[in-house]
Amino acid sequence: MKLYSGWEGRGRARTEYFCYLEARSRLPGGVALPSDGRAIVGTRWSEENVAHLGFSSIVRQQFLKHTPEILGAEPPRPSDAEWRTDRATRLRQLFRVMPTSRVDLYAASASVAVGALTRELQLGGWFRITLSEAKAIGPGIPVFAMVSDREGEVRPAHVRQVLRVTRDEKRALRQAFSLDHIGDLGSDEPGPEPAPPSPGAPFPLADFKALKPGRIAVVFGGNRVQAATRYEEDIEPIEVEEKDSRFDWDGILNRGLSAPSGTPRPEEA
Amino acid sequence: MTAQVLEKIDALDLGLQFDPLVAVNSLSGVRVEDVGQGDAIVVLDETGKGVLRIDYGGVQSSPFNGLKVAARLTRIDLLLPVPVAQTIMLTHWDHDHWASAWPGTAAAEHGRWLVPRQWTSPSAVERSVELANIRCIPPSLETVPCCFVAANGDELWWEKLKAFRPTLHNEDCNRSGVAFSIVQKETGKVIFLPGDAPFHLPIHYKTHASDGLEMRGLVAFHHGAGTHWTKGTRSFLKRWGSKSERQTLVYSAGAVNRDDHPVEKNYREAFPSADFPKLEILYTRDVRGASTPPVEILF
Repeated sequence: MKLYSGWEGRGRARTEYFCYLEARSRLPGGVALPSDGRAIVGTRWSEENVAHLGFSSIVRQQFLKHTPEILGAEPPRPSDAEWRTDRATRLRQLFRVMPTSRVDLYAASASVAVGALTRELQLGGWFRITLSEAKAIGPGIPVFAMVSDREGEVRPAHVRQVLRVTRDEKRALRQAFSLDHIGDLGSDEPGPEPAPPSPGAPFPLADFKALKPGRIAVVFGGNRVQAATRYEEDIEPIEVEEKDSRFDWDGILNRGLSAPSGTPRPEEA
Repeated sequence: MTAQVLEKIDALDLGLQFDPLVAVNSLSGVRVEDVGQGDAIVVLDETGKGVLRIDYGGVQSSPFNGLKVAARLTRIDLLLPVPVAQTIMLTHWDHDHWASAWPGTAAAEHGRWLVPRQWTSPSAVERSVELANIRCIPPSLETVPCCFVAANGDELWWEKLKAFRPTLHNEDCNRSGVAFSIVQKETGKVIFLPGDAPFHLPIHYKTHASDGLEMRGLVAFHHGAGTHWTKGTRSFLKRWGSKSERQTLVYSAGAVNRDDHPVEKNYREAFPSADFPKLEILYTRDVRGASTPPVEILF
């Protein structure tokens, strides 16, 4: 589905990206759009509010070439530690030949593109965006992009078209860019836990399905605090103090000294 | 807000021996670091030592931009130190919440990352494979308020707001990430650290209200963005704002950012200065260079 068709200039290299929408906002118009102080776009590009869309991106051609080579050859997924380690290794290999970049797309509010872009592009969605190199961005251009590489180097670009990815493309992108290589806290593999779970834990997490949202809270360290409180109570039992107190009091009485005022005599107690 | 009473289960009973505050006596508050546009928050103990981190971001106007690799790593380790085995929790996988964890930093090499499972971007997946020690919040704890407890009973609460669904539907990671708060038991004060999630979503924020806690301060969600500025957001601020108590509001937006954060007008309407004379407003961007003290919310 075509969402935007824009720059038609000829003679400039085109690149098509797969783009994941990470940020959407509206900027006040009439300002230079800077990147760490460097104005990349003419200050009078737009006098009105500007729509901004921020994408994490990869070059489509690189994805189509390298993903089948690298991830296509992975073993069937048993969802264990060995599979996850293998997946992480493959992802490192993939990103060495398929660098990620950031694409920021800006649309002047006077443009008909703004409505379509801001309405149709949802956070967390995947899109195909075709860009061509631009030397400068100035007044009269309704939509443009800036491409930033991993080190933050920024290049302006014209936006030729924006498409929604197909269902198959989205499935392939989701399959590649998941967090499946990360195990869960409490799983049986080396992780951030200070020690592996004890085998005798009463309710292994995987079997515990009764945590109802809004009714249960899970406390980490609660037993430790309770044990410490019990320990403090154990080492300073009130009975000892009372016994000491009684002993002293008996001693005072035995020595025949007057009791504190208001204290009942033994025969009155 | 609906009153909530939560039954408490000990993590050990679920087989989870994770206990990042095991050696911490008490919590004194948080420092919100200057990383430009983005979040990096360190939870402090009673001596002012960092005991756990929430996010490790910073992209635009980051103090680490423009540096050569070696100098950048050194500077990150200096300004955002991560002792061996310190826990780093991630609110969500947007770039400006993890970007300072470059490969080779102490955070990437020996931080213990606990992160939400979400659909995310290629750049986030690329960085995640460089984090040596990383685990996801298990599905059983998603949408369940959790807390880490210090020896004196102070609590660090966290809650993954939505369960991960491996479908083809899009996910707004701001609303499905992790929201935090810190409670000082002795005073009944709370500091809200929602990440990019709107204030009205976390269950445990409602629990704090029904427990009668008072707000010491908050970090404006999503760096003070105008998104998700709903009736729920306004009623949250109305509930927690105090005209008589010292409270602190922090904006974690960079001096330069593509998103025009923060939208201060929203908070000015919620906390008119005439009615809230004790409200302190701090900007992480003001810390850069000058002798300005760090941005902290202390009990």
